[in-house]
Amino acid sequence: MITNLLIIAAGFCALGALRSRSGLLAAGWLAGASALTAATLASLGGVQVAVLELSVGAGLVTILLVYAISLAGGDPEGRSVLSGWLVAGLVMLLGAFILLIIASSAPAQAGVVPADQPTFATAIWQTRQLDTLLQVVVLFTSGLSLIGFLATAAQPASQPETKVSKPQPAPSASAPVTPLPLYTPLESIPAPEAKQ
Amino acid sequence: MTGTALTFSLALGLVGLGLFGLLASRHLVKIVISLQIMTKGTLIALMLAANTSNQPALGQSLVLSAIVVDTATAVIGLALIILVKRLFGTLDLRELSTLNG
Repeated sequence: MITNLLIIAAGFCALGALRSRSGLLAAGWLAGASALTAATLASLGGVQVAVLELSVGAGLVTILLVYAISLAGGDPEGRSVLSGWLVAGLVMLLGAFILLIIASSAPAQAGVVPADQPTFATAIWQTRQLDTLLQVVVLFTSGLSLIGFLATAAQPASQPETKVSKPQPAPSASAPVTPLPLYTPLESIPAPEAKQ
Repeated sequence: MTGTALTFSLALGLVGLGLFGLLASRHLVKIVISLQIMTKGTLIALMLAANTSNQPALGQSLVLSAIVVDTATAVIGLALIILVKRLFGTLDLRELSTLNG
């Protein structure tokens, strides 16, 4: 009962995040949904992953969202291309189809309880050791990608910002080629424009 | 409907809510948020499946993997959003799809 109530509350927060016109408010609603998801995981017995979800989902991702919105601007969203009712109908049809497949499949047989129940640490560091190492690589790669993207987006303060709108003509063979800088320091990133 | 089936249906509903946002939104930040919502539903469904099959430790390790991948997706997606905003000046999908650059 409590689990179902927590999921419903998380869905309410998720709906608030989707309906919010402001990016910062949407980030706040998403943080609430993450916290309620963590509570749901804890109620299902996954205490360790609940703490992880709380710290990562409701902490790290929210901070990153706020940072990205502060840099990119929390412009209000325009009118959707697809009708909301059409999309809702399609999603409900897909959900009904999935439930129908699950209901018509063979009933799940009770799993054989192993004599020695592995702990969470055993499952992470012994059973799925290689997968854990790969996850570390994925996280490290995402951090490096973030630094690379931000360094690419940074422009020197002396040069005006140029927006890409038309394809540039090919340079002539006699035109001198200026090598691109390999690294642009983060300090040269211009401050976000102050909103009036 | 049994308790487990109801809980699974609610988790599936959360995934559907994220899918709705993914299809209906035209703002890049909202799309990242929709992906996050879909992941929340998936995490709950994974944990529920682990409890049903009496393998909670394995289920938690799978949930951990999903959290890691979801975080990496959010990090790279938000970095790309900043890059798109700096280069094109807009985060609207409809305007981005009409660019010729």
